[in-house]
Amino acid sequence: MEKYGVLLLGGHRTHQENYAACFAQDARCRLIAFSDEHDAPAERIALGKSLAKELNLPFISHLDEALARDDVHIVSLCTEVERRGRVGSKCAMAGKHVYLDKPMALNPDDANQLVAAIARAGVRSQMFSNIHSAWARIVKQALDNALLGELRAIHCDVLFAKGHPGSAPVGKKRIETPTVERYSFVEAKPEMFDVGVYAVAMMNWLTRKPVQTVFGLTANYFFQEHRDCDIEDFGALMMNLEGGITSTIVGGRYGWQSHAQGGVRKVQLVGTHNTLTFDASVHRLEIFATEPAFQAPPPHPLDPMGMWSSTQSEIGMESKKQWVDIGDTHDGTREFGAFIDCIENGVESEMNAEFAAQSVGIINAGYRSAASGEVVIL
Amino acid sequence: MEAVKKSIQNVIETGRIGSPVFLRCALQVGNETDSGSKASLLHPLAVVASLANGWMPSKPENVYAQGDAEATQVTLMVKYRGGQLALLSVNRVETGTGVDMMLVGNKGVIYHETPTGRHRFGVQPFKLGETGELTNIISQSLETGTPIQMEG
Repeated sequence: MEKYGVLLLGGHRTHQENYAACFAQDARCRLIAFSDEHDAPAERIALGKSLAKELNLPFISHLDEALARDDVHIVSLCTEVERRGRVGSKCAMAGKHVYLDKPMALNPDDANQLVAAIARAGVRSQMFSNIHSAWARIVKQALDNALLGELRAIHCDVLFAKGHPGSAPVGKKRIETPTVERYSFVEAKPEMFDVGVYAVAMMNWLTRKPVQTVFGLTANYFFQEHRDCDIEDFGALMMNLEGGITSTIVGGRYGWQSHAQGGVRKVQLVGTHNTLTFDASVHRLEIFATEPAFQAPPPHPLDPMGMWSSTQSEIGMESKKQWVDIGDTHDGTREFGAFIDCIENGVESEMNAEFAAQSVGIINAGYRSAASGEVVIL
Repeated sequence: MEAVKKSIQNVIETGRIGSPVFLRCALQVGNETDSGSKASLLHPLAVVASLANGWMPSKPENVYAQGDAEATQVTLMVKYRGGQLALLSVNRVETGTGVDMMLVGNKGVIYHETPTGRHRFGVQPFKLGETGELTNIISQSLETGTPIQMEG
């Protein structure tokens, strides 16, 4: 029973490549069309049209026209991060529920604009995150269990094993700027934001404790592409949460061959009674066979960091085979299903815009700290 | 610990992981001393800091610690002059001492975890080293709640 029409913003070389498929898999949803602002960058419109064509969907040239349609109930928002605050607010004010790619906005101002519009319109929202993954749910259960005692520290690492490292100059210290002026580049993204948002959102969701102080560092350890764009490929934050809880997160991209799967995804909970460690890859088979070892794919000129499904498919990217997950592989289905459940049941998502905006604020504080060398008080 | 330290040093020297840039190290220390009292976590943290300082190719520049060395946990961030970083944490556990670490180089990674559970008896017990570094600076940061800039 298809109840919800989904309008898709953003095209090829965005996460819409994946999100459109996830919405399409939910029996309650029907993909309606692609659209974008009429004055969006021409390349973005072209990429939207190309994905629309691939999925045999229309591309509506004027966003207002698309938002006026009665058969559109949800907007899946994968425009560049720089436009998400404005475009997302417009979608919400048109009465559409908004599914937000991560991060939901570039800075707290944009995030707050979006949060306010969503609140005024009374629509549902959700930012993509890992919280609906099977392993995140297990961590949450453990945290809620008396086994741990009182939480005293939480450490979360998310690193993407993609890209060809070793090209950035060694020992060249990164000079950070206090604000992120630009996020979207063809060849790279600021990784403390792009990947670190998973870790920050996870920590925030697990603890539900306000972050009081942030101390951070960003670096260009691995990739010349990031250096050329003057953005970091790695970042780490050390935080103090309400109640005197210490938290650290690591987010970044460290190269195709740095991990047997997609990269480290790990949480450590330190409690007064126990310490528990959770590794998303721990429940696995390890396979050694007479087959070629994994080879890093040649860099795609439009995606050297391996960010998009379409570009990796074009270069014949072969997935890693040595570690094979056991059990639940339906994280995506659960993530998108959870959002539709919220709409159906009239309840807020656990990662709604208001909550996700906290992650934007924390990471932005991290940049300020990395730039100043000081502890930033929130 | 000395065996792990030496093994990792050997790998670093082969150049397989390139130049070390980041260390994440979580040390769990057994809860009680021989006398039955809880030992301070300051020395174990300083020992882990010594490991990090030995592997990183530049000197510590800035040290920031959080937690309570007499309570459950302490966590340390060490920024190095060359831009490298170490995130080091030490906490108490009821079971034996062990370590979980990830040393990231600019061309590769070393992962190591002390065997736990039914595997823990398959290796020699993990023994903490004697040598600690940055002890006074860590104490100062814990007392003041601020990052401490290293001299020189």
